[in-house]
Amino acid sequence: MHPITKFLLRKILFYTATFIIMLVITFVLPRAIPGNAVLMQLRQFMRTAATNPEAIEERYRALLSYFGLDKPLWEQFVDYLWRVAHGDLGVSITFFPKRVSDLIFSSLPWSLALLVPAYTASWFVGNVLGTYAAHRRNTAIDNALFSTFVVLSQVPYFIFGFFLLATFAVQMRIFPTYGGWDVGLVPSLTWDFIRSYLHHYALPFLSIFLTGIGVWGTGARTMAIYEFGSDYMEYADSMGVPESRLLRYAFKNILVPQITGFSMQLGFAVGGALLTEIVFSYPGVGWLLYRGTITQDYMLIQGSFIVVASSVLLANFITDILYAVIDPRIRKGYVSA
Amino acid sequence: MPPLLKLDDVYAQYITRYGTVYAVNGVSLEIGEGEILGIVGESGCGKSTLARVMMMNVKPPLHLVRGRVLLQGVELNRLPRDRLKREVWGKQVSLVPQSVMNALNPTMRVRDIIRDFVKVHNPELDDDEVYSMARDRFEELGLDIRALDLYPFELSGGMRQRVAIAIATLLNPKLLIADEPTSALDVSTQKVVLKLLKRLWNEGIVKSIVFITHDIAVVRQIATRIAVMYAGKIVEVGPLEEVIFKPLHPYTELLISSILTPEPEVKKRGLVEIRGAPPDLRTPPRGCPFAERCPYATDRCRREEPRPVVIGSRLIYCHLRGGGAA
Amino acid sequence: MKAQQILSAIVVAVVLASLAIPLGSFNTASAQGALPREETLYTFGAQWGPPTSFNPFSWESAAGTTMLYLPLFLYNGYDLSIVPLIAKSLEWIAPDKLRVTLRSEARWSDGEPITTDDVMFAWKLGIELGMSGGCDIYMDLKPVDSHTFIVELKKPNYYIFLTCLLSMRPAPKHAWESIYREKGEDFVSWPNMDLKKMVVSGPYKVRSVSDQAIVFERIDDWWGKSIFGLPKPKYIVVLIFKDVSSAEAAFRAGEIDLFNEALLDVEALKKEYGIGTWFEEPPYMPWWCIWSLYLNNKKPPLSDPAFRRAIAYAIPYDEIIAKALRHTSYRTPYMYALMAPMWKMYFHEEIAKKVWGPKMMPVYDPEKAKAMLREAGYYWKDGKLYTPDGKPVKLVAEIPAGWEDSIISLKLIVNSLRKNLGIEVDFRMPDESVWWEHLIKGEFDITESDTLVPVFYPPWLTYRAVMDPRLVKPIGQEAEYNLERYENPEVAKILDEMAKEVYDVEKLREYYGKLQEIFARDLPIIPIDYGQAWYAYSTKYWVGWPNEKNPWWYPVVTWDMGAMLPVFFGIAKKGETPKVPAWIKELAIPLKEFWASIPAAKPSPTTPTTPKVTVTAPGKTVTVLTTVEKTVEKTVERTVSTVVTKTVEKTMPTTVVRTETNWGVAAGIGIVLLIVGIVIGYAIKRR
Ligand SMILES: Nc1ncnc2c1ncn2[C@@H]1O[C@H](COP(=O)(O)OP(=O)(O)OP(=O)(O)O)[C@@H](O)[C@H]1O
Ligand SMILES: [Mg+2]
Repeated sequence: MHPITKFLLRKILFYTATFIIMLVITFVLPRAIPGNAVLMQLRQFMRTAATNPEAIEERYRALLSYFGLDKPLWEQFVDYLWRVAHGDLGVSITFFPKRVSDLIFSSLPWSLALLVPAYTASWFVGNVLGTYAAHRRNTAIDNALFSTFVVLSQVPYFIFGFFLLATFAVQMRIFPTYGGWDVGLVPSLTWDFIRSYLHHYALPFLSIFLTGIGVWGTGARTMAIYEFGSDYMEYADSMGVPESRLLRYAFKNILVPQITGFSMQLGFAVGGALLTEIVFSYPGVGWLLYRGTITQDYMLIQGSFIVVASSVLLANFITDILYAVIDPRIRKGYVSA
Repeated sequence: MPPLLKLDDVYAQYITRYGTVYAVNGVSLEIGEGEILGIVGESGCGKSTLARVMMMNVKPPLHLVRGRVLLQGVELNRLPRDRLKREVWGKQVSLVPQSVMNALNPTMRVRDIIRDFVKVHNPELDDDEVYSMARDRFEELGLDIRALDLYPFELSGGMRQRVAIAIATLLNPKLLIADEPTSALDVSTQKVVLKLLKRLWNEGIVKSIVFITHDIAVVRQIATRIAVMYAGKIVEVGPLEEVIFKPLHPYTELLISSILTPEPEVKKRGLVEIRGAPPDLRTPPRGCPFAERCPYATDRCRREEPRPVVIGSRLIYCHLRGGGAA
Repeated sequence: MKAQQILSAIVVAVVLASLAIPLGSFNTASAQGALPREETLYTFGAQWGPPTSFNPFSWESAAGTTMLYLPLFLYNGYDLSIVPLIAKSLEWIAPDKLRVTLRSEARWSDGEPITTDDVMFAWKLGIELGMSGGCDIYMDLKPVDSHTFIVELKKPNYYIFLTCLLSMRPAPKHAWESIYREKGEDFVSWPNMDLKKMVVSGPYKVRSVSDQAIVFERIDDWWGKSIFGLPKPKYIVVLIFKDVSSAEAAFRAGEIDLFNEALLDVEALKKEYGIGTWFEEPPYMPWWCIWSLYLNNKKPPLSDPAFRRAIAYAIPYDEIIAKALRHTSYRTPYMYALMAPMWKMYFHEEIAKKVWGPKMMPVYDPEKAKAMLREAGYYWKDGKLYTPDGKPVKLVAEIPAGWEDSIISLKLIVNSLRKNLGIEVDFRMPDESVWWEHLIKGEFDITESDTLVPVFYPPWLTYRAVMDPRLVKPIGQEAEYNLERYENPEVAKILDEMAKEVYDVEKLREYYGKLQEIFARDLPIIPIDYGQAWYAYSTKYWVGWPNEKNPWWYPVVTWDMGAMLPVFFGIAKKGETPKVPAWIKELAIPLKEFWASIPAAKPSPTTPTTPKVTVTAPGKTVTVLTTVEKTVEKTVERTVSTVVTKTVEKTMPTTVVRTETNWGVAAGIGIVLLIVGIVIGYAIKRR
């Protein structure tokens, strides 16, 4: 078998298994925690519509049967698998009658627009700066960069987010504290709106971007120091290859291991980004998942979790392939990833 | 005619937080056009450092403390690093470093390594011109041109070594410095590499070669002249045959006798039979560096540094040979 | 180009493209300019998540749905009157038959008249979908002609009849019937969010919907214009914040005009930002419901009325109001009759005085509490309280995590119980959902909660919710009301009797007296303070808001925008003179008269036969009137917090629609950016 085929098969197998485990966890977890989604829904009904006890009971039964929660657990599980297999994530309890898929796919763009550029940019910039610091090892620049990396990488995304929020939004009032755009505006492709969008985008982006730079910068620096000390570097150096190009060699060669890092960190990053969304009330899946959790909306939790987890798995899978493309040793089957 | 490269009383040291390593201590050496100079010495005696100094590839923690390095009369030690890179390295002097096994960037194809290197010095060439130039040279040297399309890890050790050498000489430098080009190879592959170097030299692609090795048997097969190095110093320099068949310095003597000993057992152990260990270069001895281990050492040897003595076409640093005389 | 070049180009492109994805999610059709500030009313507090439906028959509908689908009558909870809206008049034709006539002018926004058919359609739909609020058990509807129908009482309960009547709102049969036929029971999940096709009866239509706001736009040729005039704001925006504190910041900045959420420091807001509230002085906020200490009546010793009454004297009321509520609420003697001040005609001072002394309510007096316990046979050993049968008293107090001021409040009570009475109390803070499950299943000892019924409604409803023995469910089974599980058969009888005889004011007063006596004697729950209706307004852009000094409409909140509709007619742009619409008074039918006009034919020997067949609203030739609004108020929770988590727990059930991602546009932009990215990537590589 061609090494690439073998590699792909192994990966596919691995990811399928992970996906199945994830499905089970997603079903079990929300049901394992105490509390009950339908009862919360009922509470809202009782408190908003002064009504007759008969109506409340009727509503309770209707809710249970609509969401299939009156069935035995195993039957619910089979139903759930069946629906997931058909791409049906069900109807949200909290945001009834919105379909979970609709809810997710209307917030997903926001999450993606925040996470993908912020995470990629932090990865890229972190690696560039880390490599540069390594190149300038033991100089003032390196010291400054390295200590910044360490500080940034030690702060969790959302804590840093709170810090940015408190400083730039609440104290200095440079950036808005809330949301994805000015509430007064209607989303549209106008200059006003795009400006507002970017204005709101800045802080959540920065909190993911900057902390990410710390994480990647530290790693990149360590790896690049090793690269700069390696034989091929000395060879290229002694052949007159200029510093700028050596920097690029080092950068390119740390990318390979850093791409693995990228995919390994991705899960955490998504979690962090979701928390960041909550800190900034930024529209996105994070907020949705959070709401789902708070109101114990099984459907919403299941749905968002499946989508988020699948995206992470997919991204990992893509990175694995990317890794194989970038590292010729894997592509040519000399080493197994 | 001035020598191609001249080292004039060169001192080079690694200055680190943990102390200073006196790696090259007062070396004067000339490399004439058309010669292959073999530099032999035990591991750690400063050969690689000397190679670096020869092309002035000196960067912290390594410092050139004293002395001059002249390439055809030009003082390399006065040129800034970027000028050296632009005008000297790879173009006039090329180095094939030790551990060439890893000397090629693992994530680049050979032809891309070549392209980067050539274009640094000849920006006017386009990729295709560079490739065809590389192909021609490979053919000329009898190397498989398919290697151009491969990644370093796809090449055998010997091939990697030869490719590295071919690349280093692509721009026809006057001087090639090959640091232990054969040490990691088996005997038959060593031969191939040596053949390549000879060919480069014969065909005039390079004018001169500095061949660094710890293996006197290898250097015999190629060098025209030989310099024996010990503890950061050259102890004896001279034409190959003379030095080998009539060593004048006690260290050279021991070195040669060790390889001429018929028993393969002993031969393999190389210099091990010289009793004692080479001095620690962090605290170099006052007098003759070899005094410690020299069977003929006198008090003077331990006290005073020997001066160079010219005997015929040879240069020796030893009190026994009159190195102490004013 | 090499594979790696292509790859880096793709990465660059994907990153760029993803940045632009949200741009594709904008409904291009709704791309409109910004709203003129002085024409727009911004509200906050009604909507907590993405709007998901404008279907009044859905389990969740967005804020403003009640304003889109007007009720037949509005209810004024301050004046205690009914204002006919789509209905024109009411007439009792028999004690159990009420004839309702609709306004002939009433039209749907597509021009179709609003008729009896629409009322019947809504009624049937409600029953079919289980959305009737249980009203079909109590009444029935009989159509007469296109604009007349008769409501028949099936069970003799005028209170429930009233709430059901108030909840009636016609639905556009011509537009919805086919949808219902197609969807059947799943009609509950129909979002009714196609803004272009939406057919409404109210003076506003939906202009745009997003995760951040719902924007309503006035219908300038609304059918009611000639009768009611037009509401003043051209646009009403329901803002959706995820965090109260950022909303509060916007309120301070004058960006929000009406704020229906907990405020941290009302006093400072009033002083520094000129914010208006219902009361000028503390407690600022009007009453919404009665916030009480719930004690599990099934668990000894909480099952002992003497024990409960003693606890009432161990609650540091003043400290709670100062520290936990920061004086945004207060106490009145009416609370201990489960009422608010506007129902004082049913309040018996003499009973309150007899039970609670001159103050007419319990006070913080630990010594008295101890004496009462001792008298009931409780005793102390090593400072710990023991029951008469020798068991140490141990309780668990719980309150949801994140409800900051309820936590403070309950902690103060628990500390007093521990310190003053030697009771061992375990204080817990579970998630709201867990707490709620404990509460309705009767698996709690003590906690705090509201009474679930707004005090604007007749106190009978609160009494039923708190004390009706028939609503008691066994421990472990979900109860709807009577969560503390107080069981007293006497109460059931009284409740039933009075529901039959609402027209007899004297009798009613007597019944209320009995209930008041029983409540004070047994104290199944202990009222602590009023749960506030958070109502604060800014006069930066809109003036003439109703308040205590000028109570031209009652302080309903935006949970039910239909119920507060008159407010939009009575406020004015800054600079203009606000004028309270005359029709609010002219059309109003006092509840008392509505009850009193129930014909004497009523089979009740005690009623003097004064056959009043119709009641006429002052100044109008309307026959009996009645209008009421569906009681869809949201009880505003009194717990305030700035903490983000808190907000979420308070999230109200509102659902709605939002602009769907236009994946077509997104993909288009994505592809363009992809190409741009590839070009950029190539250019970079080239260099
Ligand atoms: N970067 C460095 N920093 C400090 N000391 C160094 C450094 N590089 C080499 N040295 C020391 O300098 C001395 C000479 O090293 P060099 O590499 O020149 O020896 P060599 O003769 O080439 O040895 P080998 O045969 O092992 O290659 C050794 O003692 C070595 O430990
Ligand atoms: Mg060496």
